[in-house]
Formats: sequence, structure tokens, C-alpha cells
Amino acid sequence: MNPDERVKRPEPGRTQPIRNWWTMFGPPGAQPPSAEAGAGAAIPPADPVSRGVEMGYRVIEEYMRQGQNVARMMGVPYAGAGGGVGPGDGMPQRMATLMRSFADFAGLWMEMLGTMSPAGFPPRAPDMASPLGTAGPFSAGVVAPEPPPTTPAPAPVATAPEALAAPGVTLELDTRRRAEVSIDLRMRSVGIPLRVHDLRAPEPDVPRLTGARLETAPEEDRVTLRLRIPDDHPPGIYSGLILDERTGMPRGTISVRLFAP
Amino acid sequence: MTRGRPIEVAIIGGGCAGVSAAFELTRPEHQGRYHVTMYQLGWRLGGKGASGRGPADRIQEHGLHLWMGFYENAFRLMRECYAELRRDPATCPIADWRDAFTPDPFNGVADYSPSGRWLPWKVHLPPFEGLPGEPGATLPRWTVGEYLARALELLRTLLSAIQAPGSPPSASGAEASGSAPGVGSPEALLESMARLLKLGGFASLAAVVEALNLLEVALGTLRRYPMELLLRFHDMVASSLRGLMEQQVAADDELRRLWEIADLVLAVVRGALRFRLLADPRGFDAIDDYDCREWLRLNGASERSINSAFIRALYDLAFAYEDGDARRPRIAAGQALRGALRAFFTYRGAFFWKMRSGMGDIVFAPFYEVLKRRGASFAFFHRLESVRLSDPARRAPGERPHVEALEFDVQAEVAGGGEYQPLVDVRGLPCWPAAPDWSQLVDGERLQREGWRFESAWDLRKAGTRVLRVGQDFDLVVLAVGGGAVRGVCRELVDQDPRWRAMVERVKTVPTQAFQLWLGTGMRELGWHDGPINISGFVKPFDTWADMTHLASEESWPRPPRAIAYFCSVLPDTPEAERQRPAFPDEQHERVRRNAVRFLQRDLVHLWPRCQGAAGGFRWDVLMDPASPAEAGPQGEARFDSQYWTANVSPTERYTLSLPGSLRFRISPLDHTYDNLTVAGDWTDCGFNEGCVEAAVMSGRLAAHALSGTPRLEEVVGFDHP
Repeated sequence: MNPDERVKRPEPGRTQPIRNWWTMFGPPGAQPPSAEAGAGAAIPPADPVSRGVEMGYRVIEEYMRQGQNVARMMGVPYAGAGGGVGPGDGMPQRMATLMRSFADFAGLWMEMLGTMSPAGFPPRAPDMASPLGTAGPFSAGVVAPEPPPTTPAPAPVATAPEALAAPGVTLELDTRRRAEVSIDLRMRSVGIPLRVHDLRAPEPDVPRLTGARLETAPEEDRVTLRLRIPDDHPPGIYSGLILDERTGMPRGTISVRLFAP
Repeated sequence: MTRGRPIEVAIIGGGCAGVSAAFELTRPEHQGRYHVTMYQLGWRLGGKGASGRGPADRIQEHGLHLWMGFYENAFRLMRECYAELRRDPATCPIADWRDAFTPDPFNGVADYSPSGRWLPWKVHLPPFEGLPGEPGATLPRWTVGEYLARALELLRTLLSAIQAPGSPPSASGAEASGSAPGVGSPEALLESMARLLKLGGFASLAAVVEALNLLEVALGTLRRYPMELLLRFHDMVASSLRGLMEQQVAADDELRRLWEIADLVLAVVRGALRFRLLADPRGFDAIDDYDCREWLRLNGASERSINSAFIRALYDLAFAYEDGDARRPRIAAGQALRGALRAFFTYRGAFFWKMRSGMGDIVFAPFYEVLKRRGASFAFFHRLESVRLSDPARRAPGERPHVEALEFDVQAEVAGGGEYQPLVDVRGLPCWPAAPDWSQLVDGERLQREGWRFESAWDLRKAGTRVLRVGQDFDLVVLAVGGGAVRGVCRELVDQDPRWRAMVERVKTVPTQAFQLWLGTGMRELGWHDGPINISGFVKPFDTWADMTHLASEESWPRPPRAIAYFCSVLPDTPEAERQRPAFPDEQHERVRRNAVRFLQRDLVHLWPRCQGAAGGFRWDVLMDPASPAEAGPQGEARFDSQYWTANVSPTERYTLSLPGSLRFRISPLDHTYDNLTVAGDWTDCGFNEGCVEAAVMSGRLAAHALSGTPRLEEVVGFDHP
């Protein structure tokens, strides 16, 4: 039969599981200098939450910087005529992965901040049992001891299920191009004035996507993203942070995958 | 392209994987975009999970099936299925999923004491929050670090239990607590660990417990890991601990078992740090070329721990013996760890869940009914013979290879030409019979008289053949046959595609064996004084026993059995050439009977101390014969013939192993080499690469995603997992 008439499977977005969210954004085993020097390093004076936010920013910025440096380094031979890295080496895909990973990392950082207890430790996810006294299966036949006093007790998360529902998202895209948009927004962000950073591509020389706006409609538990993409904008993956306009704290990330015309 | 008809999907094989794919593709949200036809060998769905009602409506299984509390995908679909079914509790005894599954927290492993006795180690596993498959529940995104922190938490608790009574862990912990960190910040935590390292060791167990607390907090909270520091710290803790504990526990069975677990946890943490699993993008896959015991040994576990009951049970539950040889226990370390960590730290409600009837009745009858309501078609008695590929010479430029035709043997025609109606009613519950309803088949009486065996790979008799062609009879294909059958039905694929060839050569399967007893005597009278339990890690030929007495009320005996027991194990394989002989299945059936009789005569007494008569030997009179009361019928060993046993030797019945170095040869349902074909089954690369219901369901959901884009990969719980 005519191949055009035959039903085919859609192209897969990916074919493998993501096994490690933390290392998707850097070479395995790479340590940022601050972590290597962890022992004895100066302790930021602020409270745990503020410190967490500060560290989050630092790490995000670090990865943005690293990503751009790598892109810049790779860009030279790629642009040049001889040798070096060619398209067949999959560098654009690797860069795209790097940027997607940045978005993942930022999303996870949001998650961690969202559940950070006053003691500075992220508690278990709300639907998992508290670790206190959960000795696992092998404590049977012996009295489960009280946890040592030095074990920080995670704060119970008693959020009602409906409060954990993600808000609805309306996209108002002004573009004739094919684009894929993903938004990772923290719970309870509706009603908060939100600001969106310019969306950046991994390649330093690619122009940013500017003017993205997020408007919230608390009565509908909905946010609306308005974004205009010029017709001649280069294809690629663009990512940016969503901030609480009042505090400047991150509330989420936006990622736009722009396909070739 | 616009179509005037739904997309025709042919699903071949009605086990957990095929049924899950069908359930996803026929969801109302698709608005009828896909029409599914399921092609099934013989008269019943279920594959390795098929069951049937035999004499006295007794439940006859392929083996022992327990659902684990972390089977999120399987439970989710099951709950949705029962909700959609809307059975009336007034007329159907199993109307809701909670009727269908019952928590099974009492478990054990058969421990062999240095004193020379088998001592079951029995544990009531605590109920964890929530229930499996909770709709809308957001599950945590687990990381290796978090798993290790949980493992260390377990270790601390074990050590606290090992300590002499009256000396709580923190009471004498001055050594560590004197240096105890302000663990409120990552920096202070690391500083404390570095300071403690300078001590070079810990003099007391309490100090070790405190040090473990530091390590646990570090692994659970740090987002970038200073590996060298953590490894050095861990090694100091482990070394101190081994020095303190090894000699103390040898004479005490209870302490020895706890210490074995502690020793294994230390090896896992050390291995994860040494192999940099916390930072490896492959997650646990990074160590899949090692055998699990080998990897634990490499990371400092003692020989005693490596051969402990716990590790034996880990292998038994996955039938993890290459070629069925008990002397060759082998399972990929990464998948074994993933399985164990998920099993112990992510179960919900109960560690195990038991079904309240046969697996066919609990799982496949409801799915069959829902799929029928949704408009799916079922073609029973269809045995796949060949998957034919498109001719490369006729392929258009840029066109991918695809399946052009599916060739079936039709084992029997249905009288009247309609669809075969497969279910029977057992006191209000739709069930699968243990034999086909011959009266629905053309010439059924003759087929029955001649003893046609529709599920046997050695009975190739057929009523006709059928060829399905792409574009006419199907558009897309889900190949969901058992892993052992792939080589036989996909000869073209295996010949032409090196990846498929490598898969069938490297991803090995193994036969299994099982038997079931119906007893007129209660477990207490047989010497078992605890409640109903599942035990693994016992001797071959049957290493696993489950008390299934709860099923007695579901069957139709004049006098219900007072106990029901299921046993299962791997079955040592035979050379390929021998398997071709026509007499092979009957010989294997007889072999399992002999194994079971020998086991009952010789081994079971270690678990059931009073199962032997005064003169020795098993008390055969306790077995209930559905054909005759206890006093009548065959006596002695011959009475065993009234029980049920099975040798699962057909290619479709063989269990897929997770051998070290083999997992990378699996093919994913998401693989896109053939543009109208996907695969499903626990033999595929589905994220959880170990033979079980959950893996099969995950693969079915992935296959549906591959064809339709839904469910989203993020909704396939545990696919994105270290």
C-alpha cells in the first residue's frame, strides 16, 4: 500500500527513562567548587530558607554560566571550517539537554524550597510516611526505638489534596511557528504577581525570547502565559525563571521548544 | 491524513502487558480513535497470570502471584478498571478493588541457623501511608541519595535494636554527640563529618549510630555530594561497626539476622558512593553488568551476609537462577537494588497484597468485561505463527521498515462465527474455567475427545490459518507475547535485525514449577502456629510457600478445606534439543510431580513440624480430593494426584531473567525502528526490568504511549527512576 496512507507511530519525544535528575545538567561526577570545599566553608548567616534561596540562585547561575561557557567553547570549532565538532556529534542536542536539565534543576529547586521545613531540611513528600519510627521491615520482634534526639523531625505536611492541584494554564501564543511550551509552576502561585525572565537559549549568541508575561486569575485558579515569537526567531530550546514579583523569589520555570519553520 | 475509520490496533497476547495496552488505548478520552483486537492463544487471557476454575471450582494458577505494595501502575489501572465496571456488591462478591485485594503484611524468609536448623524469620511489615495506585497521588521523585538516606535510617534502627536492652542509642553517645554537628546547614554538616574523620574510629556502638545519623542527613539533604569525604566517612563508620559487631552476633540468631541486614546496607551505601551512583546519569543501571551478590562482595559485605536468607529470598522472588540452576544465582545488581529499594521504601498500605480469588478472576475477567464494553474485540484460539516485515526492496525512500502481515494458526473455530464467550459464573463472580467450553467450538466434542491442548507449544493442531494484512486488517501492532516466545514468532525480525537477534540470545528465560495443596487439616495441627504467611529462601525444589487459606471460601467444596498452600520455584532447564520432543511437556509435568512428592516427604517438615506421620513421611491423608471424600479414593502418595501442579515449560510460560549484562539488550516499547510495531511484556526495556506484574503493566502503558502519545511518560510511575 501507499506509504503515505499507512498509519504510523508518532515520533517519540524520548525513548529512555530519566535515571538521574541531578546529573542531567552536568558531566557525571563534576562537583561545583563550593561543594568540594564544603567542610569548613563559611556559613551564610541568614536563616535556612533565605540561605536555601540564596544557594539556589547561586547554583542556577552557576549552571547557566557553565552552559554558556560550554556552548561558547563548542561554538568556535562548530562555526569554523576545519575539524572540530560537527553537526553529526549531536552538540545541538546535547546543548538542548543541558538547557532542559537546567529547567529540571530549577524546578526541583522550587520543589525543595516549597517543602523546606523551618529546621532547614526538606521533609518527605506529603504522601509518604514520616521517617520517624519507620524502621523498615526488619524491626519486627523488637521494640521500635524512639528516634535519637539529634534526628530532626520533619514538619508534617498537612496540605489538603485539593490545594496540591496544579493551576490551569492558558497559553496565548502569538506566533506562526510550531512551538512546545512547558511550565513548571509551584503550587499556590495563582494570585501572586509573577514576572518572567527573558527566555534564553543555550547558545550565547542566540537572541532571547523577550516579553513573556504571566497573568493570574485567582477566581479561576488559572494563569495565562502571553508570549510573542517573531517569525524569524532561530529554532531551539529557550528557558527562563518565573519569579514572585514582590519578593524576587523563584516560583517556577518556563521552557519553550521552537521548531524550525 | 483524514480517516473515516478508527485506527486498527492488533494486540497479540492477553497477559498483563497486552491488557494494559488495550486498557490505555480504549480509554474514553481517545473518543474511539483506536479499535483494539486482542489475539489470544487458547481460551483465556492472562499469560503467566492466567488461572482457571477446576473441580470443586478450585482455583488453579500458573504459579504463586502476590502483588507488591509498590505496584503503582498495576494498582492504578486495576482501580480504574473496577471503578468503571461498577459491579453491584449485592450480586457480586468482589465488586470493588478493595474486595479484590487484601493486605498481606506477614512475611518471612527461611533462615538456616548455624545450629543446623531451619528457622523461619517472620516479620510483620508495618503499613505505610496511603494505598497503592491512589488516583491523583503525587509520588516523590526518588533519588539515589534519598534511598541511601532511608537505608541508613533503617540501619540506625537495626543497630539500636542490636544494642543490649537498657542502653538506648543516644545514652552513651558522648563521643559522637560531643562533636555532634549543628546539622541545620549543609556546611556545618560536612564540617562535622570532616572533624569526626580525624578521630579515626568510634569506640562505641552509640557513637556509630550518631555518625550514621550524620551520613544519613548528608545523603538525604545535600544536593551536591562531596564523594570522597562521604566515602571516607562511611568506611570509617563501617569499619568501626564491623569491629564492634561481627563477633558479638554469631551466637544469637536474632542478632545475627539483624546484623546481616546491617552489613548489607553498609555495602550498598559504600558501593553507591564508590561507584558514584549518586551522580551517574544511568542511575542503578550503571552496575547492571555485575551480579548483585558479586557487587555486594566487592563493596565489603561478608560471605555470611551474601548467603543470608534475605539475599536468598531476593533471588528466589525473581527466579534468579541462570538455566534454573540453584548453583548459579545471578541477577543484575542495579535492577536488584532498584527492586529491593522500591519494594522496601516505596510500598504503600502493605508490603504484599493477596488476591481474594484466582488472578484470572481478579485481574483478567474485569479487564475483559471493561474492554468488551469499550468495544474491543477478542479473537481467542489464535496462535501467532509469524510476524512478516515489509520487503526492503519495495520500501519507499525514507520509509521505515514495518510489519506487513501477521500469520496465525486458528486453533478452533467458534460455532456460529461469533466471538467466543470465555467466562463462567461462580456464585456471582465472573471467572475463567480451567478448560475451554468445548460446546462453543466447531466440532468441540471431537476436539475434547482427542485431547487438544490449546496452550501447549507442542500441540500444533489447528482448524485453519489466517493472515492479517496491514491497512486491511490492522494498522498498528503491539507484540505482547511472552518473552520466551519471541524467537519463535519473530523469525524474520530476529534474522534481519541484529538488535532483535541479540535480544533473544542475551535475554534468557527459565521454566518454573508450582503446586497447590488443599488440606483437610488446619495449619496449627500441621505445626505452624503463626498466622498465614509467605516465605521465601527455603530449599529447592520449592523455595517459596504462601498460605492461601483465605481462598477456601471462594471455592465450592462440600466441606471447605481448612488450609490451602501454594508452592513455587524455578525449574532446572533442559537442553534446547530435548525440549523439541513431543513427550517433553508430559515428562516435565511428571518431573514436577516427583519434585513435589519428594519435597513433601523430606523437606516440608522443617516448616510444618507435624506434617509427617508417626512412621515418618508426609501425611497424605490430609490432602483433600475434590472427586471423593477423605476416607475414599486413592490413599498414600497416590493421593497427591488429586492436587494441582504445573511445569511452566511452554515458551509463553517461561519467566524472563534479569541476568547481569543482559538488560542493555532489551528492546524498549518506545523503540521506533518499526513504524507500526511496538512491544510489551516484562521482557522489554520498560524502566523496571525484572519479571513481575508491575513491569508488564509499565510496558503495556509505554506501548500505548508509543502508539498514541498517552499516557504521558511522567504518568508511568517509576519509569523515570534511578
